[in-house]
Amino acid sequence: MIPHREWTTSRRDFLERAGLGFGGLALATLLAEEEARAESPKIDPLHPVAPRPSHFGAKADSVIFLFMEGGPSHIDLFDPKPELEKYAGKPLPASFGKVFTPMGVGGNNLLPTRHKFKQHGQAGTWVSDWYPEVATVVDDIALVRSWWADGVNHVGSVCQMNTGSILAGRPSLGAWVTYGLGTANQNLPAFVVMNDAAEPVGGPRNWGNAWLPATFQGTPFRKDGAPILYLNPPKGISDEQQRAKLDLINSLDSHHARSRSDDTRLSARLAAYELAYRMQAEAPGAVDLSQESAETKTLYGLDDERCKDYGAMCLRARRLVERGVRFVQLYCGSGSQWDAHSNLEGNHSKLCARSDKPVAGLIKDLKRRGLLERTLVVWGGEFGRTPMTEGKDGRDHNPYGFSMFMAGGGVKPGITYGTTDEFGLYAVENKVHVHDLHATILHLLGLDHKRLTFLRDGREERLTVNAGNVIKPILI
Amino acid sequence: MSQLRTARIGLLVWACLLACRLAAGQAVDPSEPKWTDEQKSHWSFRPVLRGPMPQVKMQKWVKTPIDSFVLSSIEDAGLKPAKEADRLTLIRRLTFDLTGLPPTPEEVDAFVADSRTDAYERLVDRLLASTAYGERWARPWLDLARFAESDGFKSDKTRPNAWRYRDWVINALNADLPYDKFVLYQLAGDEIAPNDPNAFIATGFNRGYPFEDNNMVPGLNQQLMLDDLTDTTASVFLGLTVACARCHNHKYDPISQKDYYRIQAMFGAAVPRDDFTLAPPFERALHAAVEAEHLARVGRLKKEIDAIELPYKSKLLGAAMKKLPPEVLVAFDKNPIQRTAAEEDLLKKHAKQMAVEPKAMQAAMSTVDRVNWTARTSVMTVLAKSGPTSLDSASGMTDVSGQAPPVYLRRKGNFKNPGSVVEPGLLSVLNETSTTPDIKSTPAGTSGRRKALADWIINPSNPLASRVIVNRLWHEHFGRGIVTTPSDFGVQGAEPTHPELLDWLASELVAQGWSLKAMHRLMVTSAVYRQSSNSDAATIEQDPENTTFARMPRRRLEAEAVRDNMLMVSGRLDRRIGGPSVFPDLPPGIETRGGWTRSDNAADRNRRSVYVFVRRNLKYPIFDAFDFPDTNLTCSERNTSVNAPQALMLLNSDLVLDEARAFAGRLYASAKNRSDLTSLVRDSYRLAFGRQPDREEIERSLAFLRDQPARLSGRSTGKAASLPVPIPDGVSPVQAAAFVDYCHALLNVNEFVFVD
Repeated sequence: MIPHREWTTSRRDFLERAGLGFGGLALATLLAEEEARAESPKIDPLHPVAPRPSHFGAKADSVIFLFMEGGPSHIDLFDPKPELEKYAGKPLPASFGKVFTPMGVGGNNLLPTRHKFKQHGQAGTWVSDWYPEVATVVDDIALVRSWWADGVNHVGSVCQMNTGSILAGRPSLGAWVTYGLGTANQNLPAFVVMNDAAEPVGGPRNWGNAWLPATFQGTPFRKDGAPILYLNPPKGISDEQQRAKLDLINSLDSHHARSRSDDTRLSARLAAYELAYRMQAEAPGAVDLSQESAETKTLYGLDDERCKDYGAMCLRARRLVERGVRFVQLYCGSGSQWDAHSNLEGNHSKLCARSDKPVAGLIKDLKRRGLLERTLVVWGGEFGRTPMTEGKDGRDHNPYGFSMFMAGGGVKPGITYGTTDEFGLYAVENKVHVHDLHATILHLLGLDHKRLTFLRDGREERLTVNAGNVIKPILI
Repeated sequence: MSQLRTARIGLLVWACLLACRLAAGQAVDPSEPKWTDEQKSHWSFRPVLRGPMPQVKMQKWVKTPIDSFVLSSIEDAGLKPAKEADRLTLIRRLTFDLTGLPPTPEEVDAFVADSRTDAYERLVDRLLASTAYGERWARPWLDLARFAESDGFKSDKTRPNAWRYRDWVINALNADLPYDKFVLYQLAGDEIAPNDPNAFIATGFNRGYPFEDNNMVPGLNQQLMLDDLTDTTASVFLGLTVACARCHNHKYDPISQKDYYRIQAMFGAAVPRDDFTLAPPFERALHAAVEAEHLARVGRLKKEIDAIELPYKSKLLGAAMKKLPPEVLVAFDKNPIQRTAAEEDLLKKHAKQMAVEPKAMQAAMSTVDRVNWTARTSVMTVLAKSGPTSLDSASGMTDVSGQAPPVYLRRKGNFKNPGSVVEPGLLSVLNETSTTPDIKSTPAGTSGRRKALADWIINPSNPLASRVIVNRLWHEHFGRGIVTTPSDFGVQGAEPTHPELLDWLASELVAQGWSLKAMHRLMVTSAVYRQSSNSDAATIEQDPENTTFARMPRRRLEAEAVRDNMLMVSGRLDRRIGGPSVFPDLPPGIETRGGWTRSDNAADRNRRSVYVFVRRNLKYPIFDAFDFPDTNLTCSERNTSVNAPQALMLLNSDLVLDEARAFAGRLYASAKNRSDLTSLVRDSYRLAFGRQPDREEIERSLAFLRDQPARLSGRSTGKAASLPVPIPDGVSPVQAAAFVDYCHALLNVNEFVFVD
């Protein structure tokens, strides 16, 4: 390994003085990682979410994370396994040894998919008949079929997909991104979360800031009424009345600040009130779909009872990204609905129908508006499902090998990357971990996951904990 | 943070990353390094040294020993301390700082008028003696203790007795329990005083760990608990970030991987306990008798039911078994412990066929038997619900027995890769001659390990415990620690800006019998603390981060104080102390999943914030907006963000609007003349900020009160929702609603959330 920069005497001195006792190899590795120097973003207290420079040229400005909560079955959607037909009704070959799954299905018989797979697009990407609309956009996506994760159950796995760790207490991906980059539109929250059903398992900490400043936490948008909690004054308070109240606050605060001019937090708070007021004006319009054409609404499936709710969320996400919102996360089947321990057919038929048109519509719409180039779309759940049957017609959790796809924002379109074994249980080739996903998302946003750090208890913490590699082969 | 430090920490981070990678290949337990003299002499490991007071020029300024140390560094920097703050500022600062509440106008008047030379010290003593002191200062400790009243993870189950630990902390602080005892009780209360309920409740500190009741990996929960106890204990009491050493020898701090598991083994026997009965002996005996009688009745009835069922059950089961494949019967007949896994699976698979459906059994019964059976089972249903209610009990930690199960070094920190068994012990760098403490199992049937750990932590020869706690107090009082990383005194942490002062305070704490109140008093009576938060431009330019403490920092109130301040000003704060946590209203649309049932009693909903239920998966919204910490991990320092959601919360939430209405109602109720706007403005300022408004403030306020009614008249102002509580007589609804708006604005201004 060749050092990127000259090794200064003082630094070597420092290492020696600290008595670290690294061998030659260790030193070389250390040198190679010289560029990974920690560097906390400088937060302007007056504008805590003002856009901040990235570490290097960004390919994407925004992210839309389509979170299929509960764990969609990759074997029935994206990862065809003809071997399952041969072994149908038989257990895994003995060479697999003992396989641990939460419901103890390791020794159960293998269950082939009931769905027809076909290659689609110029890319020839395999997609099953459960996702006919998504099949029409495969030339825009990079399908990765070799993910793995650490958790075996929902709460830990959803937590890891969001924060990097299966244990709670760390900031979410969206919070890190907002902390690192701020956001383009100061009148809307930087990081927006929407759920189509119940709250995701684990609750608000999935978009929480943990030990980052509260400013960077995700803002849940509600489906009906005012999108943000406390966005509007209580009923009966007119805009004029509210504005006068704000002017009074402003006037008294300016008076108070006169003898305290050195304290930027005081002016920051004044600015926060103005931002809140502007948000009041801008947020409702940002999610108002009445301005969209009938054709666009149909594209997202708003005329289809099965998917109109998720379609509306996807369309709102496009409107938000269009307005400069940095990070949008849309849960589909929130509250673990994809979790098909039994009746896989019924469960996935419903959820695929709910997400197929909206997801495909979103990608098409972003593309035709020229937004896809700078918007990274991510589709996936917290894990996949087992090739072994659970009961007679279900599948258990599988964090050992599963599929997710990405589109736009600097991702190579029309490719399939990585493979699982002949049954789709373990990722075997080009294995990639959740940490790698996070490192890659940050990379596309122009952030080096090793340099985006926050000092906590004397330790420079980062999203990817102690791991993570950018998945270069799937990038343009 | 300086550039140099940023760069240095960066270096440390990737070296840690590297160490993790190297550890990934770990196949054997790592050998223990020999610590170099330099490592052993890291500043925080050196003995506490009480040095002489430094010489200073401005002798007159010095009020306490603290002042000599701080002034000396101010003078070295060529600066001057800020002038003393005025009396109003001082009483507001002190009251918020020591009690988390604003002073009442009467308290302000009394202090401003108190001409005695020791008026300030008297004020400090009064505040330290008030119960509100414990309620305020419990909170930073509860942050450290990652205190919560639910498990976290998916189900987030309620911990119904967790509040007792919160009350224990409040009471211990109010009683000024010496810090060494404070530590000892929390780590080993059950070992030192096995029959004392309070000592047991104190061990609630170690029950704070999050818990996943749905964890399917056998043994993993136990390991997660041990990791949490090890990390939290080291972080809170020793100021050491040991978690790195879980996977490999710590690359910077002299903490070996074996050290980590030595400390972990000090908790090797620990088990959670939830059935510590708090009732007095008489009540317990009575309860036992009632319960025994109840159980006997249930038992008799069950016997009768079983007797009726038996012939039918055996007949039906016999018929069912005949239909089963022979290998199932073979498995069934085996002694359970001799069954193979496959046989267990087989039995599980056929479990349904081997059970008797109650309906089928009833259908098979003779009429007489069915009548008897039905009568008895319906009595049983009633009886099962009517046992004596359980006695009050407490949750905490104890030991599984006097003998601890083995604790293994986990290679690469991987639970599935156990190395050798590690004996309990202490950090090798601080215990060179022997890492093995004197551990004696106790007559209470516990291992004595946690007591030995606590004894070592609080032994005055241990330089960390006293330095860490005085720094935590300093950090809270002065806005930044002498060591700015309060839970990291290791190589990666910051070095003390005033090392001699830190050591002097640490030694003084021990000299004062570990009295925390004595340390508070020392700190807040110092001239340093009494400085104004305003300073001259030159000083600010030369020392923007205030590392010399040449002024007092302005403090943004913490989440709890923001809410308590509003309740206090509105006159609605309920000051009852202690007891089960309360559930104030949540805004509509917040998902509670059954975890938040609003308290019935309105007064309960207005209790102090420290009594609001702490649910891991659902933070109370106003706390969340104002940086209440995540309760899954220990927190040594809260953020103080300023953002738009806070503004929306204070402007638009019913919580704040309701306080504004009560505040307005309170002012009207005490006003001599309700149409005398100037007097109303004066009274509002007095209640909200403890002071009189100046001329300009009065003018701006009056202009608002004059013009706002016209903006309101267009809408219906008869709505109770926008009027003061209680609705004042003799004031037009428009004027009253405008006054609510005015009071609402006062709850929103900077002066309301920042304290000079």
